[in-house]
Amino acid sequence: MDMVLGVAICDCGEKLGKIIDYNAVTEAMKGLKLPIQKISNLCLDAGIQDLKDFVKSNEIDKLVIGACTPKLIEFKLRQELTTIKEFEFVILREHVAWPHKSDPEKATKKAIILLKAAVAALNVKEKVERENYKVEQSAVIIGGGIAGIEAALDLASDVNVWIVERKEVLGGNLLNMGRIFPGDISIQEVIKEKVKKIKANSKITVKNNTEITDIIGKPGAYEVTITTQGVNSPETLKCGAIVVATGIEESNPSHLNLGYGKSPDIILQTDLGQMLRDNRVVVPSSNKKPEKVLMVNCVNSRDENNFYCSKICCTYSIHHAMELAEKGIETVISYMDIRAPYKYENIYRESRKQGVTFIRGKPQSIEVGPDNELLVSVENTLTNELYELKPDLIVLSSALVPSKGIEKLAEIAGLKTKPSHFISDLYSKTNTTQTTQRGIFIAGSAFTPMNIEDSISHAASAAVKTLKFLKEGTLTRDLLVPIIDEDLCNGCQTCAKTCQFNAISMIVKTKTDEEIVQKASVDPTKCKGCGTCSAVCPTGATQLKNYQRGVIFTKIETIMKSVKEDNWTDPVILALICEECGSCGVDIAGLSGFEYPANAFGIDVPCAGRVGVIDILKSFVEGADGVLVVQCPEQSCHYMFGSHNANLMVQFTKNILDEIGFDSARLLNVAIVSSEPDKFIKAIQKLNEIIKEIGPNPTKGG
Amino acid sequence: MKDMSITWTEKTKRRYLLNMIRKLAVKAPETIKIPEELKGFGTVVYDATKCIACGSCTRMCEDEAIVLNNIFDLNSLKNIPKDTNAKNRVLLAEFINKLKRKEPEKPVAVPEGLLGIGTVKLNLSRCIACKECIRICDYDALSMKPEWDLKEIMAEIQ
Repeated sequence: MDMVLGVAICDCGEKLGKIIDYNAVTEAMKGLKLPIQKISNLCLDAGIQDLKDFVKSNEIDKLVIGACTPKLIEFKLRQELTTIKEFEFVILREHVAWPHKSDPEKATKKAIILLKAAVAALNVKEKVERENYKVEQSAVIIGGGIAGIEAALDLASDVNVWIVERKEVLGGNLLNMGRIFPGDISIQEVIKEKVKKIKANSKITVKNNTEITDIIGKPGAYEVTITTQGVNSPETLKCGAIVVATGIEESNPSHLNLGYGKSPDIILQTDLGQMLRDNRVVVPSSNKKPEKVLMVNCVNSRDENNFYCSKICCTYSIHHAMELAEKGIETVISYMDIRAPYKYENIYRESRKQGVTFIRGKPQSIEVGPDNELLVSVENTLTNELYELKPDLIVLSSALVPSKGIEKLAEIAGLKTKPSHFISDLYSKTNTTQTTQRGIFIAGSAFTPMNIEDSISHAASAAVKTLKFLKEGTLTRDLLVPIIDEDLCNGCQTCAKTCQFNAISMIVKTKTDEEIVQKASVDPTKCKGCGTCSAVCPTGATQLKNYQRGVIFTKIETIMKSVKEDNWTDPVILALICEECGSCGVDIAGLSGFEYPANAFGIDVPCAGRVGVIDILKSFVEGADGVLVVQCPEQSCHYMFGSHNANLMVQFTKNILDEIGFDSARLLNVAIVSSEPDKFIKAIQKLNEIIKEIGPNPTKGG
Repeated sequence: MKDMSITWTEKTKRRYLLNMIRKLAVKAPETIKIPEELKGFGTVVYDATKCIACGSCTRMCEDEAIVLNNIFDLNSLKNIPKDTNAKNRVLLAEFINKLKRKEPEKPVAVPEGLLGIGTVKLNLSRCIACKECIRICDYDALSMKPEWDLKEIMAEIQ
């Protein structure tokens, strides 16, 4: 049975009618012999009722919606119009009317062309299965330090929680500390209290000596495989959300010329913390109380390896120096800059009063003499004086790095890490507890080094976000996954190796009695639907459903054909736009009232990673004068690798174009986040200038 | 003449053999024929027109005699077999043919990390002619010829 396709266009309460000539649009679309109707305010109940009547009276199965951005209306339309097999959205408001309001004639033409392309593409598209599923009302917290403990206590007010801790006790780094500063509260007492609360809470289960070995599933329904030391069979925890609270550790600076490892009397701040905790500060080699201690800050950090400042070392080294002063031990702190912000500035002042000496400058060398004596030369860069010091004990404040295994965990969970190897947040600055994976949150120092206070606040924030997510109750998911044509697949593993979600595996099949072959197979529970596999597949066997080659090519062909029929005189730019930040950025450009030339026609892709070399070349073959790939910045790609792959693809295509004498300047890619519409507009303007200079596509018409 | 003594860094038997040949050589070697039935010797022949740089062969090869090379020869697309199932490669050839303003002269660089495109490079001196790469290749891009180009092999290990 043939599917009936219909077109509904919304004029946003007649507002868009002043720019786009809706009568002309309806007239132009009549040639396609499809039911078409203008509806005012598709976002309102009355509009949706009109749409329902239109769908019912024409028995429509597939619907092209020309309205505002689907980010606003798609969810509701899909909920209300359950008989519709598939939608295709043309963003008439943000992408056509508003950015071209001074050129109504071209805006109208662009609207017609995009609608025609949408109709053609929807003809090729199939129904996408949707899955509704319940969110498991439970969370797994990875790491039982202060952040994990706090997050667990907050979450357990409502849902079941597991704490998975690698060590045999809870507490993490706090177990190595003496007192909370400023003040005299014993950290060990604090931890005891917290652990007592955890044990008393029936909703919290603690898994000690346990590590995460696998995470599968989807947001709201994860399956976390854990392996406990001494237990043979791994266990699977079903949870709705995961909180990564893996924390930090002090790095080993033995590769630096600071004598660490050469003498037992050169120790780390965490070692000193343990001594202070036990109230037994001694020089390890002699077991005697030290008289003079040298602390060296910024060890192994703020250099080319760990470019960042570990943020909390200044404060705790000063605090440790003050505790030593109480014991009558003299301390010199050698530093690059003192960064003790907010109230900790007081600690810095107080410590000077108590006789802690500060030398601005890092030791050039630390020598260990034949009798284990320590010789340090350090220049005070403020006074240009050179000091020769002979401390009894040297304490290095080494860079704080993510706990061991963070990269492996990130790989298992499909999380991004920052260049510093800390877990990356989704949107830096505004939402620091949400990772790049929905349903997985970060708490505490796994995100960035934090002191106890900040860890607790960050964990509380993560707990709130986690609860908010779990309370969504049910989630809907498109089963938008690649379809593998097994006849074409040759088992080359290119897609499997490219996929960052490990969603593609190779299965062995028997070809003949003797011969066995490998074929790619997609795990829909792991696939996120970015389509990068489709872009890299050499054979074309892997095709992302509804973004398959046929759909993209149909759009390119229809746009270029309609442009020709329309006697469009301007150069034509095809913009392959990522549906995540790319499309949002273009939305915002329209929303913000920016205007740009109307000659850029958008083709949506789920992620720029879907753009392959043949998609770009196809655009030029059909006569496009310029191609613009709009993508998210690499570090904030919603599919981890897609944007990076797009960069590689564009570079490769440019290499080809250069070699065949086709001007590669016609191909441009731009990375934007949704708040950077200006970058998109500048790219369109730049591409227009380039085309103006080098002329139209030389193969046009040929 | 150079010192031909064998160093201990050259661990493989094949290297040992080649160095012995070199030691014994009184004239520059040319191509030699290898009896067809003799296992362990031969020259892998690579056809870039059929290769899709899947890397299967490089994974099979334990001797690193065949490695992926991040360059792509556009001219190899000209003779792409008609019956191949590498449909995306066929389209690439078709589009390049339509767009080209001049004949490509040199291979183009494939950015590091981009999979599914490129060529393979053979290190014949490491090859032990086990034919595993030929067996795994679904595209008949590799075949074996029963001869040894000693001149080239010697040049490789110099």
